[in-house]
Amino acid sequence: MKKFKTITIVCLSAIAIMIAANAWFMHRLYDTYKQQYIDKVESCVRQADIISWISIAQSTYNVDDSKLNLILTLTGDTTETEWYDYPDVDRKMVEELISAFAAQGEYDQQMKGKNFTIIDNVFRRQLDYAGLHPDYAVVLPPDSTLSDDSGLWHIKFTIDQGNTHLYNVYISSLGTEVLKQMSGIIATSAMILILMGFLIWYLLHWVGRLRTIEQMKDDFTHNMTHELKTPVAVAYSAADSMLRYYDQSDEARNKQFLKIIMQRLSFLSGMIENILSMSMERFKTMKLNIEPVAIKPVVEDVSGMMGLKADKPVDINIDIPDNLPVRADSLHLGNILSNLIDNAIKYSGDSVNINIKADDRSIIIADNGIGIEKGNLPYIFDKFYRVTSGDRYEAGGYGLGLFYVKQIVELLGWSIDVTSKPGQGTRFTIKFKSDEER
Amino acid sequence: MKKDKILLVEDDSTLSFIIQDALTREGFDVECAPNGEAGLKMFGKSAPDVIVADVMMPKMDGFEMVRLISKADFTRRTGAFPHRPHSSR
Repeated sequence: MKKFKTITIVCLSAIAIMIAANAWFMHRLYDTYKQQYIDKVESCVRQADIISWISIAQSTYNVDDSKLNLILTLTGDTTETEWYDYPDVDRKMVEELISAFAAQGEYDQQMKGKNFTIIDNVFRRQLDYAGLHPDYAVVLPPDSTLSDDSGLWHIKFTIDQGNTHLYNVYISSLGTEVLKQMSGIIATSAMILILMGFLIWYLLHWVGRLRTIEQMKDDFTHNMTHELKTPVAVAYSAADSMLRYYDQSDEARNKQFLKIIMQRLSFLSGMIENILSMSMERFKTMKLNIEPVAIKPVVEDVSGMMGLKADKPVDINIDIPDNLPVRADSLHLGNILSNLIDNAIKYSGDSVNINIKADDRSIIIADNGIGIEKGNLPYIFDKFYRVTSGDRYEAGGYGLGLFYVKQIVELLGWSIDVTSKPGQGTRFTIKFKSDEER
Repeated sequence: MKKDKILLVEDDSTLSFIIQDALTREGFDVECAPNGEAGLKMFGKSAPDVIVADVMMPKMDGFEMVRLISKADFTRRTGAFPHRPHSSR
Protein backbone atom coordinates (compact mmCIF):
# COMPACT_ATOMS: atom_id res chain seq x y z
CA MET A 1 0.00 0.00 0.00
CA LYS A 2 2.69 2.43 1.08
CA LYS A 3 4.90 1.41 -1.84
CA PHE A 4 2.10 2.10 -4.26
CA LYS A 5 1.66 5.60 -2.88
CA THR A 6 5.39 6.26 -3.15
CA ILE A 7 5.49 5.06 -6.74
CA THR A 8 2.51 7.24 -7.62
CA ILE A 9 4.05 10.31 -6.01
CA VAL A 10 7.44 9.74 -7.63
CA CYS A 11 5.87 9.25 -11.06
CA LEU A 12 3.65 12.29 -10.78
CA SER A 13 6.48 14.49 -9.55
CA ALA A 14 8.70 13.22 -12.37
CA ILE A 15 6.05 14.25 -14.89
CA ALA A 16 5.53 17.60 -13.16
CA ILE A 17 9.26 18.32 -13.18
CA MET A 18 9.50 17.34 -16.84
CA ILE A 19 6.60 19.59 -17.76
CA ALA A 20 8.05 22.48 -15.75
CA ALA A 21 11.50 22.05 -17.28
CA ASN A 22 10.01 21.83 -20.73
CA ALA A 23 7.89 24.92 -20.19
CA TRP A 24 10.90 26.83 -18.96
CA PHE A 25 13.04 25.87 -21.96
CA MET A 26 10.16 26.65 -24.28
CA HIS A 27 9.76 30.04 -22.69
CA ARG A 28 13.45 30.80 -23.12
CA LEU A 29 13.33 29.64 -26.69
CA TYR A 30 10.28 31.81 -27.31
CA ASP A 31 12.09 34.82 -25.86
CA THR A 32 15.07 34.16 -28.09
CA TYR A 33 12.92 33.91 -31.17
CA LYS A 34 11.06 37.05 -30.19
CA GLN A 35 14.30 38.96 -29.68
CA GLN A 36 15.58 37.80 -33.05
CA TYR A 37 12.36 38.94 -34.61
CA ILE A 38 12.46 42.35 -32.99
CA ASP A 39 16.09 42.73 -34.03
CA LYS A 40 15.10 42.07 -37.60
CA VAL A 41 12.27 44.59 -37.42
CA GLU A 42 14.63 47.16 -35.94
CA SER A 43 17.12 46.65 -38.73
CA CYS A 44 14.31 47.23 -41.20
CA VAL A 45 13.41 50.48 -39.45
CA ARG A 46 17.07 51.49 -39.53
CA GLN A 47 17.21 50.96 -43.27
CA ALA A 48 14.06 52.96 -43.76
CA ASP A 49 15.43 55.70 -41.53
CA ILE A 50 18.70 55.94 -43.38
CA ILE A 51 16.99 56.16 -46.70
CA SER A 52 14.68 58.90 -45.48
CA TRP A 53 17.65 60.83 -44.15
CA ILE A 54 19.36 60.51 -47.46
CA SER A 55 16.27 61.97 -49.02
CA ILE A 56 16.36 64.90 -46.63
CA ALA A 57 20.07 65.31 -47.04
CA GLN A 58 19.78 65.48 -50.73
CA SER A 59 16.95 68.00 -50.77
CA THR A 60 18.66 70.20 -48.12
CA TYR A 61 22.26 70.07 -49.15
CA ASN A 62 22.03 68.83 -52.69
CA VAL A 63 24.42 66.05 -51.91
CA ASP A 64 25.83 65.02 -55.18
CA ASP A 65 26.96 61.56 -54.61
CA SER A 66 26.40 58.92 -57.17
CA LYS A 67 25.89 56.30 -54.53
CA LEU A 68 23.32 58.37 -52.65
CA ASN A 69 21.57 59.10 -55.88
CA LEU A 70 21.45 55.50 -56.72
CA ILE A 71 19.99 54.64 -53.34
CA LEU A 72 17.47 57.43 -53.56
CA THR A 73 16.37 56.32 -56.94
CA LEU A 74 15.92 52.88 -55.65
CA THR A 75 13.71 54.01 -52.76
CA GLY A 76 11.28 55.47 -55.22
CA ASP A 77 11.13 52.24 -57.15
CA THR A 78 9.70 49.46 -55.09
CA THR A 79 10.73 46.79 -57.54
CA GLU A 80 14.44 47.29 -57.04
CA THR A 81 16.33 45.30 -54.48
CA GLU A 82 19.89 46.53 -54.40
CA TRP A 83 19.34 48.81 -51.42
CA TYR A 84 18.72 45.71 -49.39
CA ASP A 85 22.47 45.26 -49.31
CA TYR A 86 22.95 48.78 -48.15
CA PRO A 87 26.64 48.89 -47.25
CA ASP A 88 27.82 49.67 -43.74
CA VAL A 89 30.11 52.43 -44.89
CA ASP A 90 27.14 54.35 -46.29
CA ARG A 91 25.14 53.89 -43.12
CA LYS A 92 28.04 55.28 -41.17
CA MET A 93 28.12 58.27 -43.40
CA VAL A 94 24.42 58.87 -42.99
CA GLU A 95 24.64 58.48 -39.23
CA GLU A 96 27.29 61.18 -39.27
CA LEU A 97 24.89 63.29 -41.21
CA ILE A 98 22.18 62.71 -38.60
CA SER A 99 24.60 63.62 -35.84
CA ALA A 100 25.41 66.79 -37.65
CA PHE A 101 21.72 67.64 -37.83
CA ALA A 102 21.26 66.92 -34.21
CA ALA A 103 24.24 69.06 -33.28
CA GLN A 104 22.84 71.97 -35.23
CA GLY A 105 19.56 71.71 -33.34
CA GLU A 106 17.83 71.04 -36.57
CA TYR A 107 16.73 67.59 -35.65
CA ASP A 108 13.18 68.46 -34.53
CA GLN A 109 12.71 70.74 -37.45
CA GLN A 110 13.96 68.20 -39.91
CA MET A 111 11.83 65.52 -38.34
CA LYS A 112 8.75 67.42 -39.33
CA GLY A 113 9.95 67.47 -42.86
CA LYS A 114 10.52 63.78 -42.89
CA ASN A 115 8.60 61.93 -45.44
CA PHE A 116 6.82 59.19 -43.53
CA THR A 117 5.37 57.83 -46.70
CA ILE A 118 8.86 56.93 -47.84
CA ILE A 119 9.82 55.54 -44.44
CA ASP A 120 6.68 53.49 -44.20
CA ASN A 121 7.03 52.15 -47.73
CA VAL A 122 10.66 51.25 -47.30
CA PHE A 123 9.98 49.70 -43.93
CA ARG A 124 7.28 47.44 -45.30
CA ARG A 125 9.39 46.46 -48.25
CA GLN A 126 12.27 45.75 -45.97
CA LEU A 127 10.08 43.53 -43.83
CA ASP A 128 9.02 41.71 -46.92
CA TYR A 129 12.61 41.11 -48.01
CA ALA A 130 13.50 39.95 -44.51
CA GLY A 131 10.81 37.31 -44.84
CA LEU A 132 8.58 38.85 -42.21
CA HIS A 133 4.92 39.22 -42.99
CA PRO A 134 3.12 40.79 -40.05
CA ASP A 135 -0.60 41.51 -40.36
CA TYR A 136 -0.04 45.06 -39.17
CA ALA A 137 3.01 47.28 -39.21
CA VAL A 138 3.38 51.02 -38.91
CA VAL A 139 6.16 53.55 -38.29
CA LEU A 140 5.18 56.71 -36.42
CA PRO A 141 7.09 59.81 -35.29
CA PRO A 142 8.29 59.66 -31.69
CA ASP A 143 5.61 62.05 -30.44
CA SER A 144 2.67 60.14 -31.78
CA THR A 145 1.47 56.83 -30.40
CA LEU A 146 -1.33 54.45 -31.21
CA SER A 147 -4.29 54.77 -28.87
CA ASP A 148 -5.13 51.08 -29.20
CA ASP A 149 -2.06 48.87 -29.34
CA SER A 150 -3.61 45.67 -27.99
CA GLY A 151 -2.11 42.66 -29.69
CA LEU A 152 0.73 44.77 -31.04
CA TRP A 153 4.35 44.99 -30.14
CA HIS A 154 5.60 48.49 -29.54
CA ILE A 155 9.24 49.04 -30.47
CA LYS A 156 10.84 52.33 -29.48
CA PHE A 157 13.47 52.86 -32.11
CA THR A 158 16.39 54.86 -30.78
CA ILE A 159 19.91 55.78 -31.78
CA ASP A 160 22.87 57.25 -29.85
CA GLN A 161 22.64 54.54 -27.18
CA GLY A 162 18.99 55.26 -26.61
CA ASN A 163 19.41 59.06 -26.29
CA THR A 164 17.55 60.01 -29.41
CA HIS A 165 14.09 58.58 -29.88
CA LEU A 166 13.47 58.42 -33.60
CA TYR A 167 10.36 56.34 -34.18
CA ASN A 168 7.55 54.45 -32.56
CA VAL A 169 7.09 51.19 -34.40
CA TYR A 170 4.00 49.10 -33.95
CA ILE A 171 3.85 45.63 -35.30
CA SER A 172 1.32 42.89 -34.83
CA SER A 173 2.74 40.56 -32.22
CA LEU A 174 4.11 37.57 -33.99
CA GLY A 175 3.22 35.16 -31.25
CA THR A 176 1.72 32.77 -33.73
CA GLU A 177 4.60 33.29 -36.15
CA VAL A 178 7.16 32.53 -33.47
CA LEU A 179 5.12 29.56 -32.31
CA LYS A 180 5.06 28.33 -35.89
CA GLN A 181 8.84 28.42 -35.97
CA MET A 182 8.90 26.47 -32.74
CA SER A 183 6.22 24.03 -33.80
CA GLY A 184 8.64 21.15 -34.42
CA ILE A 185 10.21 21.41 -31.00
CA ILE A 186 6.83 21.86 -29.35
CA ALA A 187 5.37 18.87 -31.16
CA THR A 188 8.22 16.52 -30.25
CA SER A 189 8.25 17.71 -26.64
CA ALA A 190 4.51 17.22 -26.41
CA MET A 191 4.81 13.77 -27.92
CA ILE A 192 7.50 12.74 -25.48
CA LEU A 193 5.44 14.08 -22.60
CA ILE A 194 2.35 12.29 -23.80
CA LEU A 195 4.32 9.08 -24.25
CA MET A 196 5.84 9.42 -20.78
CA GLY A 197 2.44 10.16 -19.31
CA PHE A 198 0.95 7.17 -21.04
CA LEU A 199 3.76 4.89 -19.88
CA ILE A 200 3.45 6.05 -16.32
CA TRP A 201 -0.32 5.76 -16.47
CA TYR A 202 0.10 2.25 -17.79
CA LEU A 203 2.57 1.41 -15.06
CA LEU A 204 0.29 2.76 -12.35
CA HIS A 205 -2.67 1.04 -13.92
CA TRP A 206 -0.83 -2.27 -13.78
CA VAL A 207 0.45 -1.76 -10.29
CA GLY A 208 -3.09 -0.86 -9.27
CA ARG A 209 -4.45 -3.96 -10.93
CA LEU A 210 -1.86 -6.15 -9.28
CA ARG A 211 -2.76 -4.56 -6.00
CA THR A 212 -6.43 -5.24 -6.57
CA ILE A 213 -5.69 -8.83 -7.45
CA GLU A 214 -3.54 -9.15 -4.35
CA GLN A 215 -6.33 -7.63 -2.27
CA MET A 216 -8.85 -9.95 -3.85
CA LYS A 217 -6.64 -12.92 -3.12
CA ASP A 218 -6.31 -11.84 0.48
CA ASP A 219 -10.04 -11.32 0.84
CA PHE A 220 -10.70 -14.60 -0.87
CA THR A 221 -8.30 -16.48 1.37
CA HIS A 222 -9.72 -14.78 4.43
CA ASN A 223 -13.32 -15.53 3.53
CA MET A 224 -12.46 -18.98 2.35
CA THR A 225 -10.68 -19.76 5.59
CA HIS A 226 -13.70 -18.72 7.57
CA GLU A 227 -16.13 -20.46 5.28
CA LEU A 228 -14.11 -23.65 5.33
CA LYS A 229 -13.27 -23.58 8.99
CA THR A 230 -16.78 -23.10 10.32
CA PRO A 231 -18.29 -26.27 8.86
CA VAL A 232 -15.18 -28.21 9.84
CA ALA A 233 -15.45 -26.86 13.36
CA VAL A 234 -19.14 -27.74 13.59
CA ALA A 235 -18.73 -31.27 12.20
CA TYR A 236 -15.68 -31.78 14.37
CA SER A 237 -17.42 -30.61 17.52
CA ALA A 238 -20.48 -32.74 16.80
CA ALA A 239 -18.39 -35.86 16.27
CA ASP A 240 -16.23 -35.04 19.29
CA SER A 241 -19.27 -34.53 21.48
CA MET A 242 -20.85 -37.77 20.28
CA LEU A 243 -17.73 -39.74 21.09
CA ARG A 244 -17.14 -38.10 24.43
CA TYR A 245 -20.71 -38.17 25.70
CA TYR A 246 -21.83 -41.28 23.90
CA ASP A 247 -25.35 -42.23 24.91
CA GLN A 248 -26.83 -45.16 23.07
CA SER A 249 -30.28 -44.63 24.51
CA ASP A 250 -30.60 -41.06 23.26
CA GLU A 251 -31.31 -41.92 19.66
CA ALA A 252 -32.77 -38.51 18.82
CA ARG A 253 -29.57 -36.76 19.85
CA ASN A 254 -27.37 -39.21 18.00
CA LYS A 255 -29.39 -38.78 14.86
CA GLN A 256 -29.40 -35.02 15.16
CA PHE A 257 -25.63 -34.90 15.57
CA LEU A 258 -25.03 -37.25 12.67
CA LYS A 259 -27.32 -35.12 10.56
CA ILE A 260 -25.38 -32.02 11.50
CA ILE A 261 -22.11 -33.74 10.54
CA MET A 262 -23.56 -34.92 7.26
CA GLN A 263 -24.94 -31.47 6.42
CA ARG A 264 -21.69 -29.70 7.08
CA LEU A 265 -19.64 -32.26 5.18
CA SER A 266 -21.82 -32.01 2.11
CA PHE A 267 -21.59 -28.22 2.31
CA LEU A 268 -17.82 -28.54 2.48
CA SER A 269 -17.63 -30.88 -0.46
CA GLY A 270 -19.71 -28.48 -2.53
CA MET A 271 -17.40 -25.64 -1.61
CA ILE A 272 -14.30 -27.60 -2.53
CA GLU A 273 -15.82 -28.53 -5.85
CA ASN A 274 -16.50 -24.86 -6.52
CA ILE A 275 -12.95 -23.87 -5.70
CA LEU A 276 -11.49 -26.54 -7.93
CA SER A 277 -13.77 -25.80 -10.85
CA MET A 278 -12.90 -22.15 -10.48
CA SER A 279 -9.23 -22.86 -10.97
CA MET A 280 -10.14 -25.03 -13.93
CA GLU A 281 -11.74 -22.01 -15.60
CA ARG A 282 -8.24 -20.86 -16.44
CA PHE A 283 -7.95 -23.46 -19.16
CA LYS A 284 -10.25 -21.41 -21.33
CA THR A 285 -7.94 -18.45 -21.44
CA MET A 286 -4.64 -20.25 -21.13
CA LYS A 287 -2.00 -19.51 -23.76
CA LEU A 288 0.41 -22.21 -24.83
CA ASN A 289 3.96 -21.56 -25.82
CA ILE A 290 4.13 -23.87 -28.83
CA GLU A 291 7.54 -24.67 -30.27
CA PRO A 292 9.34 -27.72 -31.64
CA VAL A 293 10.11 -30.02 -28.72
CA ALA A 294 12.29 -33.13 -28.89
CA ILE A 295 9.95 -35.65 -27.38
CA LYS A 296 12.41 -38.30 -26.19
CA PRO A 297 14.21 -36.25 -23.50
CA VAL A 298 10.86 -35.06 -22.12
CA VAL A 299 9.60 -38.63 -21.84
CA GLU A 300 12.86 -39.80 -20.27
CA ASP A 301 12.84 -36.99 -17.71
CA VAL A 302 9.25 -37.57 -16.69
CA SER A 303 9.64 -41.36 -16.58
CA GLY A 304 12.74 -41.11 -14.40
CA MET A 305 10.96 -38.79 -12.00
CA MET A 306 7.80 -40.86 -11.78
CA GLY A 307 9.81 -44.06 -11.33
CA LEU A 308 11.65 -42.51 -8.38
CA LYS A 309 8.45 -41.27 -6.79
CA ALA A 310 6.61 -44.57 -7.09
CA ASP A 311 6.24 -46.80 -4.04
CA LYS A 312 6.45 -49.99 -6.09
CA PRO A 313 8.68 -51.44 -8.81
CA VAL A 314 8.08 -49.60 -12.07
CA ASP A 315 9.54 -50.71 -15.39
CA ILE A 316 9.27 -48.11 -18.15
CA ASN A 317 10.34 -49.01 -21.71
CA ILE A 318 10.83 -46.11 -24.04
CA ASP A 319 10.81 -46.69 -27.77
CA ILE A 320 11.16 -43.26 -29.36
CA PRO A 321 13.52 -42.24 -32.18
CA ASP A 322 16.19 -39.73 -31.20
CA ASN A 323 15.50 -36.15 -32.28
CA LEU A 324 11.84 -36.76 -32.98
CA PRO A 325 10.29 -33.29 -32.74
CA VAL A 326 6.68 -32.38 -32.06
CA ARG A 327 5.13 -28.94 -31.98
CA ALA A 328 4.07 -28.51 -28.38
CA ASP A 329 4.43 -26.57 -25.16
CA SER A 330 7.21 -28.44 -23.41
CA LEU A 331 5.94 -27.70 -19.90
CA HIS A 332 2.42 -28.94 -20.62
CA LEU A 333 3.69 -31.87 -22.63
CA GLY A 334 5.67 -32.94 -19.58
CA ASN A 335 2.58 -32.52 -17.41
CA ILE A 336 0.48 -34.61 -19.78
CA LEU A 337 3.02 -37.41 -19.74
CA SER A 338 3.47 -37.28 -15.98
CA ASN A 339 -0.31 -37.46 -15.49
CA LEU A 340 -0.61 -40.50 -17.74
CA ILE A 341 2.40 -42.27 -16.23
CA ASP A 342 1.22 -41.39 -12.73
CA ASN A 343 -2.16 -42.95 -13.51
CA ALA A 344 -0.50 -46.06 -14.92
CA ILE A 345 1.49 -46.45 -11.71
CA LYS A 346 -1.43 -45.62 -9.40
CA TYR A 347 -3.91 -47.97 -11.02
CA SER A 348 -1.81 -51.10 -11.02
CA GLY A 349 -0.95 -54.04 -8.87
CA ASP A 350 2.24 -54.60 -6.89
CA SER A 351 4.43 -53.72 -9.87
CA VAL A 352 3.84 -52.26 -13.30
CA ASN A 353 5.28 -52.29 -16.81
CA ILE A 354 4.81 -49.20 -18.91
CA ASN A 355 5.61 -49.00 -22.62
CA ILE A 356 5.97 -45.62 -24.24
CA LYS A 357 6.23 -45.58 -28.00
CA ALA A 358 6.18 -42.64 -30.37
CA ASP A 359 6.53 -41.81 -34.05
CA ASP A 360 5.87 -38.63 -35.99
CA ARG A 361 2.10 -39.18 -35.86
CA SER A 362 1.37 -40.33 -32.33
CA ILE A 363 2.59 -41.34 -28.92
CA ILE A 364 1.30 -44.40 -27.08
CA ILE A 365 1.46 -44.95 -23.33
CA ALA A 366 0.43 -48.50 -22.43
CA ASP A 367 0.47 -50.26 -19.07
CA ASN A 368 -0.29 -53.69 -17.69
CA GLY A 369 -2.29 -52.29 -14.75
CA ILE A 370 -5.78 -53.00 -13.50
CA GLY A 371 -7.50 -51.44 -16.50
CA ILE A 372 -10.79 -49.60 -16.72
CA GLU A 373 -14.28 -51.10 -17.00
CA LYS A 374 -15.88 -50.50 -20.37
CA GLY A 375 -18.77 -48.62 -18.75
CA ASN A 376 -16.40 -46.12 -17.20
CA LEU A 377 -14.26 -45.45 -20.27
CA PRO A 378 -16.42 -42.70 -21.84
CA TYR A 379 -16.25 -40.61 -18.64
CA ILE A 380 -12.63 -40.78 -17.63
CA PHE A 381 -11.81 -37.43 -19.26
CA ASP A 382 -14.65 -35.65 -17.49
CA LYS A 383 -13.94 -33.06 -14.86
CA PHE A 384 -13.96 -34.54 -11.34
CA TYR A 385 -14.81 -37.97 -12.67
CA ARG A 386 -13.17 -40.79 -10.76
CA VAL A 387 -13.47 -44.53 -11.04
CA THR A 388 -14.80 -45.27 -7.58
CA SER A 389 -15.27 -49.04 -7.51
CA GLY A 390 -13.23 -51.21 -5.19
CA ASP A 391 -9.87 -50.24 -3.80
CA ARG A 392 -9.13 -47.75 -6.60
CA TYR A 393 -10.65 -45.05 -4.46
CA GLU A 394 -7.61 -45.42 -2.26
CA ALA A 395 -5.43 -43.99 -4.97
CA GLY A 396 -6.39 -40.40 -4.17
CA GLY A 397 -6.79 -37.47 -6.50
CA TYR A 398 -9.41 -34.93 -7.47
CA GLY A 399 -10.49 -36.40 -10.78
CA LEU A 400 -8.69 -33.64 -12.59
CA GLY A 401 -5.64 -35.34 -14.10
CA LEU A 402 -7.18 -36.75 -17.25
CA PHE A 403 -9.45 -33.73 -17.57
CA TYR A 404 -6.34 -31.60 -17.69
CA VAL A 405 -4.69 -33.95 -20.19
CA LYS A 406 -7.67 -33.75 -22.49
CA GLN A 407 -7.88 -29.94 -22.25
CA ILE A 408 -4.24 -29.49 -23.15
CA VAL A 409 -4.29 -32.10 -25.91
CA GLU A 410 -7.20 -30.24 -27.49
CA LEU A 411 -5.52 -26.87 -27.06
CA LEU A 412 -2.55 -28.29 -28.96
CA GLY A 413 -4.89 -29.37 -31.75
CA TRP A 414 -4.31 -33.04 -31.02
CA SER A 415 -6.62 -35.85 -29.99
CA ILE A 416 -6.46 -38.52 -27.31
CA ASP A 417 -7.91 -42.02 -27.34
CA VAL A 418 -8.09 -44.77 -24.78
CA THR A 419 -8.56 -48.53 -24.93
CA SER A 420 -8.55 -50.75 -21.89
CA LYS A 421 -9.23 -54.27 -20.71
CA PRO A 422 -9.90 -54.84 -17.02
CA GLY A 423 -7.11 -56.92 -15.52
CA GLN A 424 -4.83 -56.51 -18.55
CA GLY A 425 -4.04 -52.86 -18.82
CA THR A 426 -4.79 -49.52 -20.43
CA ARG A 427 -3.45 -47.86 -23.54
CA PHE A 428 -3.60 -44.14 -24.21
CA THR A 429 -2.93 -42.90 -27.75
CA ILE A 430 -2.27 -39.24 -28.41
CA LYS A 431 -2.43 -38.34 -32.08
CA PHE A 432 -0.45 -35.25 -33.02
CA LYS A 433 -3.15 -34.17 -35.43
CA SER A 434 -6.81 -33.99 -34.55
CA ASP A 435 -9.29 -36.36 -36.15
CA GLU A 436 -10.76 -33.67 -38.38
CA GLU A 437 -7.43 -32.96 -40.04
CA ARG A 438 -6.74 -36.50 -41.09
CA MET B 1 -23.33 -26.43 45.30
CA LYS B 2 -23.94 -23.62 42.89
CA LYS B 3 -23.02 -24.38 39.30
CA ASP B 4 -20.38 -22.30 37.57
CA LYS B 5 -21.91 -20.09 34.94
CA ILE B 6 -20.52 -19.92 31.41
CA LEU B 7 -21.44 -17.31 28.81
CA LEU B 8 -21.06 -18.81 25.35
CA VAL B 9 -20.85 -16.30 22.50
CA GLU B 10 -21.01 -17.93 19.08
CA ASP B 11 -22.73 -16.84 15.88
CA ASP B 12 -23.22 -20.28 14.38
CA SER B 13 -26.34 -21.59 16.09
CA THR B 14 -25.52 -25.24 15.43
CA LEU B 15 -22.05 -24.98 16.88
CA SER B 16 -23.47 -23.00 19.78
CA PHE B 17 -25.96 -25.78 20.39
CA ILE B 18 -23.29 -28.50 20.31
CA ILE B 19 -20.97 -26.67 22.68
CA GLN B 20 -23.83 -25.80 25.00
CA ASP B 21 -24.82 -29.47 25.03
CA ALA B 22 -21.27 -30.54 25.89
CA LEU B 23 -20.73 -27.91 28.58
CA THR B 24 -24.07 -28.71 30.16
CA ARG B 25 -23.05 -32.35 30.31
CA GLU B 26 -19.86 -31.26 32.05
CA GLY B 27 -22.01 -29.69 34.73
CA PHE B 28 -21.95 -26.00 33.81
CA ASP B 29 -24.77 -23.54 33.65
CA VAL B 30 -24.55 -22.27 30.07
CA GLU B 31 -26.06 -19.15 28.54
CA CYS B 32 -25.72 -18.39 24.83
CA ALA B 33 -25.43 -15.16 22.87
CA PRO B 34 -25.31 -14.98 19.04
CA ASN B 35 -22.81 -12.09 18.76
CA GLY B 36 -20.56 -9.77 20.71
CA GLU B 37 -23.18 -7.12 21.21
CA ALA B 38 -25.69 -9.56 22.69
CA GLY B 39 -22.89 -11.15 24.70
CA LEU B 40 -22.02 -7.79 26.22
CA LYS B 41 -25.65 -7.20 27.26
CA MET B 42 -25.96 -10.70 28.69
CA PHE B 43 -22.73 -10.28 30.64
CA GLY B 44 -24.26 -7.35 32.52
CA LYS B 45 -27.41 -9.32 33.33
CA SER B 46 -26.10 -12.74 34.31
CA ALA B 47 -22.52 -12.07 35.55
CA PRO B 48 -20.94 -15.32 34.28
CA ASP B 49 -17.81 -16.86 35.75
CA VAL B 50 -16.29 -17.68 32.38
CA ILE B 51 -16.86 -16.38 28.87
CA VAL B 52 -16.20 -18.59 25.87
CA ALA B 53 -16.33 -16.50 22.72
CA ASP B 54 -15.89 -16.97 19.02
CA VAL B 55 -13.53 -14.44 17.46
CA MET B 56 -15.09 -13.77 14.07
CA MET B 57 -18.68 -12.70 14.59
CA PRO B 58 -21.05 -10.18 13.04
CA LYS B 59 -21.92 -6.88 14.76
CA MET B 60 -19.08 -7.12 17.31
CA ASP B 61 -16.21 -9.54 17.21
CA GLY B 62 -14.91 -11.53 20.18
CA PHE B 63 -11.84 -9.40 20.85
CA GLU B 64 -13.83 -6.18 20.91
CA MET B 65 -16.40 -7.72 23.24
CA VAL B 66 -13.76 -9.00 25.65
CA ARG B 67 -12.02 -5.63 25.57
CA LEU B 68 -15.24 -3.83 26.49
CA ILE B 69 -16.08 -6.37 29.18
CA SER B 70 -12.66 -6.16 30.83
CA LYS B 71 -13.10 -2.38 30.83
CA ALA B 72 -16.44 -2.66 32.61
CA ASP B 73 -15.52 -5.55 34.92
CA PHE B 74 -13.64 -3.73 37.70
CA THR B 75 -13.27 -6.82 39.83
CA ARG B 76 -11.59 -8.65 36.94
CA ARG B 77 -13.28 -11.71 38.28
CA THR B 78 -14.33 -13.09 34.91
CA GLY B 79 -12.01 -15.12 32.71
CA ALA B 80 -12.41 -15.02 28.95
CA PHE B 81 -10.80 -17.01 26.20
CA PRO B 82 -11.33 -17.33 22.48
CA HIS B 83 -12.50 -20.65 21.23
CA ARG B 84 -11.28 -21.94 17.92
CA PRO B 85 -12.40 -25.51 17.79
CA HIS B 86 -9.68 -28.06 17.14
CA SER B 87 -7.54 -25.99 14.81
CA SER B 88 -5.67 -24.17 17.55
CA ARG B 89 -5.12 -27.19 19.73
